[in-house]
Amino acid sequence: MNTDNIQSLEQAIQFAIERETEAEQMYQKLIRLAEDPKAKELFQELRDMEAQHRQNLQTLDVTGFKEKHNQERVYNMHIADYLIDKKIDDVRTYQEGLMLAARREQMAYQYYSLLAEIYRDNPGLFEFFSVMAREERSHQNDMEKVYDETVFLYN
Amino acid sequence: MEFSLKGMLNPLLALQQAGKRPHTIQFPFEEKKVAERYRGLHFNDLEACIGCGTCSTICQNEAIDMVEINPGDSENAKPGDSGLRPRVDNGRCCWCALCVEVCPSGSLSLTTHYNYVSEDANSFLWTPGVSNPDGHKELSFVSDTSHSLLDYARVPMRELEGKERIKSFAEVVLGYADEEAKKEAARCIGCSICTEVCPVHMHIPEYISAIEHGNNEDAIRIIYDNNPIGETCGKVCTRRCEEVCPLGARGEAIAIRWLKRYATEKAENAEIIREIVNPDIKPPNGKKVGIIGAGPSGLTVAYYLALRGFDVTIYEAKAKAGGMIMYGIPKYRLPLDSLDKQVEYMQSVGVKIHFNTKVGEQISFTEIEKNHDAVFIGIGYEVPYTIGIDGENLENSIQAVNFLRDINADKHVDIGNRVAVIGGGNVAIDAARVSRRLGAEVTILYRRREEDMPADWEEIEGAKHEGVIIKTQAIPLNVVDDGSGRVKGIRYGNARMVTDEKGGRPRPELIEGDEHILELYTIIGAIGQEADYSFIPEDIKEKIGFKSGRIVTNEWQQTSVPHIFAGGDIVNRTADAISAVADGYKAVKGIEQFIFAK
Ligand SMILES: Cc1cc2nc3c(=O)[nH]c(=O)nc-3n(C[C@H](O)[C@H](O)[C@H](O)COP(=O)(O)OP(=O)(O)OC[C@H]3O[C@@H](n4cnc5c(N)ncnc54)[C@H](O)[C@@H]3O)c2cc1C
Ligand code: SF4
Ligand code: SF4
Repeated sequence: MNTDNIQSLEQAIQFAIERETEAEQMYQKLIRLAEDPKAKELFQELRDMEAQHRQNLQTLDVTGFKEKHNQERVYNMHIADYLIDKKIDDVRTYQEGLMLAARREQMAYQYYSLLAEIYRDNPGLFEFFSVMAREERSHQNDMEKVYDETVFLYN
Repeated sequence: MEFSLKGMLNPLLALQQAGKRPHTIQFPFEEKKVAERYRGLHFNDLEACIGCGTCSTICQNEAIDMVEINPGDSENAKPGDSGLRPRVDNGRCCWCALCVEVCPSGSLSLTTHYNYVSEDANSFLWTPGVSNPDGHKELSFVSDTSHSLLDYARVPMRELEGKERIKSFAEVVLGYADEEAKKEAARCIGCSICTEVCPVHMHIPEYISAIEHGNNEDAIRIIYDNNPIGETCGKVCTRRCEEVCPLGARGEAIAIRWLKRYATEKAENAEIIREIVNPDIKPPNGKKVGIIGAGPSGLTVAYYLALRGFDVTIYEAKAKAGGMIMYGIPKYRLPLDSLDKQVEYMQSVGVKIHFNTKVGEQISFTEIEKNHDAVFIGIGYEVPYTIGIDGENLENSIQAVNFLRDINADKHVDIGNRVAVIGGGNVAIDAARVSRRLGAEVTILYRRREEDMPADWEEIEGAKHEGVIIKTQAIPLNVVDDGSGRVKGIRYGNARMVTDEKGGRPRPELIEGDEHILELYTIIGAIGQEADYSFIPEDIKEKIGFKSGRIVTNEWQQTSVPHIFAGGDIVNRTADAISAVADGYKAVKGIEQFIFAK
């Protein structure tokens, strides 16, 4: 679905479901490609997380997302801002997997933020995209925290 | 006989006393004011006490025994604490206060309290601190480090001066002379707390005592009992033992590492080690064990299995044995001939090493499995994490582990005159100090504060002493290109530290706009490593079981595939040489049990 075609909340949700499904498939592919067991483990977790999101969207249960944001502190370590973009086919190691995931979540955040701006005049869509943007921002935060605790253990 | 009236009346005189106040003690009892440094009943600060038992050992009346206050205290005790506490039999105690004099933590004291009445005979077994929780208010005879029976000051180690050091790769630490070693060894109180904490449980007080008495050969034998790279550990061990040595509580811990170094260095070559250790080598038992990787873990498995009559072969990718202690640790900390000597000795007792044999390239894992009764994997963490930022692939942006390996192999590496090292662990410090020795000005960029650096504080001090600049809370943003594909510098941003609400390490947050460029010739990444398991067939990988990138094993280093064992950096999180030795030592027992139970 193209974002230009979004007219209703249903379509917006459908669009988000498609994105989550794509992400799920991407991580599924990475599980196959990864030689490193830790990377495999990471991709499995990420795939399951995306699947959970998809299910939440399918059952229109975005309320859980909202509550979570209010409680959590979002750090702004800006790790993803400066990481090199990794292509899926180049990803083999744990670090590369994390780099890809952190950048992907960051881009998703930027994308939904943009959509929220675009649909500022449509309260239903604005609210939906804002919630999704915050959710993705929180995933970026999660990925950065993992990166900070593992790859940056000595840094 | 003369009649005496006085005599007749005497008993009546006694009656006069009836109306007077008696001289015997009345309740409520008031204790007399006692002398300064009076030696009354014991008090123990239970938090400060580490249960070393020195008080119990010294007591000539055998009045003190060590007990658990609550069941399970010994099991749940923190490292460096036995969990036991002294209990004093006041029926035996003579209040000599020797126990207080030797208590290294200073937790034990005597109080002004001298009177104790009870019908319960058992209550004369007094657990200071438990029996008198308020005893700290009555302290009288307390231990004072300024005039103690214990010697709290370490015999200083002589080292090369900072300016001298950076002129060459000569060993920085010069070692103890005989008298210095004996004097340092004599400080040990023999409590064995260190033994508990040492990953391989080396017999520390025993070898220290041998050194004290000039029995150096005994010390070497005791060291080789469970550590075949004692000399390496004597030079570079992370020495968790010293962290818990009770003398460190109020003074300086025994220099356990330097004493081990002193003893082992005395055996100058492999033949002398062989002569001294004179190991009991069991006749061949016909069982074969294949070991992948000649790092500390693999060497340990190989050595002790060889002594037990196993036919052991190590498959090692590189030209020399030792793993990261050979190809990582710089020569000014661990001279290569020191390690060569230790490996040669192991080969002399039957350890076979196939050099330049990378499993997965020169030989397959399946073939090793086929040809051996058990396999041990000890391949370490060799693949460096990249810094992950733009420009990292420019010419002269290199990785610390590769740089250190090349330098140890006497290769020339052109790092120029200005270097930045990225990272805050020991590898970063090693890369920085080596770069100083190659003549460069060196800056370490680290994302957090100095106190967060995982590197050994002595190494950090050493680096500063040699002129390394440590720039903290500095986050690399990208490597700057000079226009021809070479490094020109690094752009970094300053960070503020934000506390982690879950109690983890504080996190650095980039301060937007506070960016700077450091002009450089070379950038060295040293942020960490991971393992390369690509040689292990997929089906075995699936079965083995990994957690956070490390192989999961049982207490005998056995994986869930029974004939495959693993150890060292790929299993333990402490990632140091002594933990790798400990894993190897446990695997020896595991492999023996597995093979003979078949
Ligand atoms: C720069 C640096 C400094 C350090 N300083 C200290 C220190 O001061 N004190 C300390 O206690 N620890 C230190 N360490 C850590 C210590 O070196 C390691 O914890 C220890 O060496 C781990 O031992 P290991 O047996 O797990 O493997 P390693 O020492 O990593 O050895 C693994 C061996 O396996 C071989 N290998 C790998 N893959 C294959 C394959 N497929 N086929 C055949 N062979 C293979 C490698 O060539 C290597 O020889 C340092 C590490 C580094 C990198
Ligand atoms: S000597 Fe001191 S620290 Fe050691 S057990 Fe006795 S009271 Fe505790
Ligand atoms: S070295 Fe320290 S901890 Fe070890 S036995 Fe001696 S005094 Fe106790």
